[in-house]
Amino acid sequence: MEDTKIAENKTTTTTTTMTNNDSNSSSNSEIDNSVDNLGGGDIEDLSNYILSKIDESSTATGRPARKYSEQDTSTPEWFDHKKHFFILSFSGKPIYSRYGDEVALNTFMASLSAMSSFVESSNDELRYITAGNYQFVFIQKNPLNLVCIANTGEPYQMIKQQLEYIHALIISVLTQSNIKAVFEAKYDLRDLLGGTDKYLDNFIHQTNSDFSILLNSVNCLRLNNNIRNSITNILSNRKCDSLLFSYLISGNKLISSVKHKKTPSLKSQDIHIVMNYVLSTSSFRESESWIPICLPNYNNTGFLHLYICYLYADVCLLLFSNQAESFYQLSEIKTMISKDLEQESIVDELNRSVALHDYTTSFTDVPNLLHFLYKNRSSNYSTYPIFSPPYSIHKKEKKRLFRLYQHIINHVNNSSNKPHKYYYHTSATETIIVAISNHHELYATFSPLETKKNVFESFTLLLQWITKDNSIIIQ
Amino acid sequence: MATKKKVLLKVIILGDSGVGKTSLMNQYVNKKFSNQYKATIGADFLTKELMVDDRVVTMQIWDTAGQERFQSLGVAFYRGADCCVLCYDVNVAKTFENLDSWRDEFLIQAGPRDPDNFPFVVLGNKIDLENQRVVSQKRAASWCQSKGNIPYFETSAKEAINVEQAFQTIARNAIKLEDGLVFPIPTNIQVIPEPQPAKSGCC
Repeated sequence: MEDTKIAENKTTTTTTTMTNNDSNSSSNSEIDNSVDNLGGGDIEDLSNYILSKIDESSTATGRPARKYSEQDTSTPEWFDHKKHFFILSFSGKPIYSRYGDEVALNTFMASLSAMSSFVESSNDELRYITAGNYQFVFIQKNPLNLVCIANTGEPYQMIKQQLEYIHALIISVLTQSNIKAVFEAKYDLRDLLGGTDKYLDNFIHQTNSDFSILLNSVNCLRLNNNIRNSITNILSNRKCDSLLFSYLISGNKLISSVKHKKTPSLKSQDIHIVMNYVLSTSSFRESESWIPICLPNYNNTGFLHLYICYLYADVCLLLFSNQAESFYQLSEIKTMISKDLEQESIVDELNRSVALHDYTTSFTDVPNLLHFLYKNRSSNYSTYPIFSPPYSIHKKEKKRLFRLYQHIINHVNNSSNKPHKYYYHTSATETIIVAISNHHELYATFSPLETKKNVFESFTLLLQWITKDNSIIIQ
Repeated sequence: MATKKKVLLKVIILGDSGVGKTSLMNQYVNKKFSNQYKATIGADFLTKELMVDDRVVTMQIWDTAGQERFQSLGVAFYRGADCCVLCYDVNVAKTFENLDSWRDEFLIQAGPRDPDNFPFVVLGNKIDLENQRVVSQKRAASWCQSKGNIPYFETSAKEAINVEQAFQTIARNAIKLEDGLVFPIPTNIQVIPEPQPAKSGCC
């Protein structure tokens, strides 16, 4: 399908002042939308919210105020945000806005739906609109419209991918079949998504800063290969009829996973959705939990049942079952896994690794290396060091490097020409060299002052190191 | 599934060009009236919060273009509307006669589940120009009755006559439609593992 690009939207005049978006608010670069929403206070808010949800009587009043919830198109601050996300129904009714109360923004959302509907009426699909520094990116997922308005300069494909992730999160709460049924019944979806705002807020933040999502991959916890193998053996030995997958994770890093049945493997997008739930819900840390969850890439029509239990401070066991009644069975399996880990004295080693898993580029012994991203294309596992100087000093620099990777990844993967095998980018701030094969993707960052020769030598060393070191990525 | 969350209603306003759709909406939302005529291009969107019984209701009002050449917004316009307001000018017979086709157009495009009971409201506007009137109240009321007892209001956007009352009725009727629905959500769907696609024998 061809790009539908409307430079000027002449067809809709709206009483909501969309043109304000073009105002010079963009120059206010101090405002960083990516301010971590995961602050301790917010997690506390979340657990408060979950408690209030249990108490039916407080659904209207027990909801803690959301950040920026007082803003809408009548407040100038609303226009200062660099990256807006909106979810609305095909009929133009508001469902979610990253900033501001969605109901107060209902006329703005109606305007957005009129834009995509206008293009739809000529049997086409609106993909994006460019207006000044702003890009309006649309995806239509019957019966939902998802829109991002950003002046971040990100490539269209990258924003589209973020919208796809957010859509997948909505599906994971309700399933695609239910969402359609809700709309056919003209029911307000917001009633069924109560409390999902927090997960959406966190997930949006995540898609905006997480390299593993950027690479469409799952990040691995650095761990001694023998220990990892022992863990994998334990996970695969402890199973029952209804158990489909066992995952052991630490934060948003994978320690080990096992597929027990002849069934498709879980896609990285689904794993990120699950990790987002686990990380955004502090109450999971306190007890065994049992939740229904739809994994859109696995089966978007029904729910799987997920057993969640933290074995240690930062090690969480996830057991996916296809039976709603198997909680106690899975709880027993957890007990057995826990025992096995202790008996084989893996626990100490595992917890030590969890505490020390982060590594910097100096760990690689590759000279002049500033940063890198590695993805194994067959397994979709990825690894990358934490930021070190010059990137670790300013948040702005981290973001800048992230945005640069976005452009390069987009260029080498989504280019209309043949896919690139090698790519060399150099600018005043850094040199990035990329190698892509059927098996891997490697993006390595060096100082711009480094000679080409040195860069190539270091790049080769890095590639050798990654293939040799069997702790940084699941083999 | 009683919910106390704010109700949001989508209301669309249809009718020939110049009957005063935008003026009615402006009078209702902004309490303003202007004698100047400005054609609506595409659509205008306004919102208003009101109380119906003890519920807070937010109306999302889609004011449409009456002129054919500006009617280009496609299906989203009609999709998922909770109430449709049909407007005509009591001083222009043609605008009244066209109500039939506006109503038909809406029912075709929106495809409501129960078209016979879909909430319409008819507004006969510009009653302040009394001596020019050509459509009698009786004639309009009998048309409304024949279409399943559509509530009928005679309004003046200029003098703010009956505007508030009309929109109150619009909201009330639209809510009735929502109240009648109970949505069942299956929570336990058994997922049968899919067979793995045959792998090619290569490593």
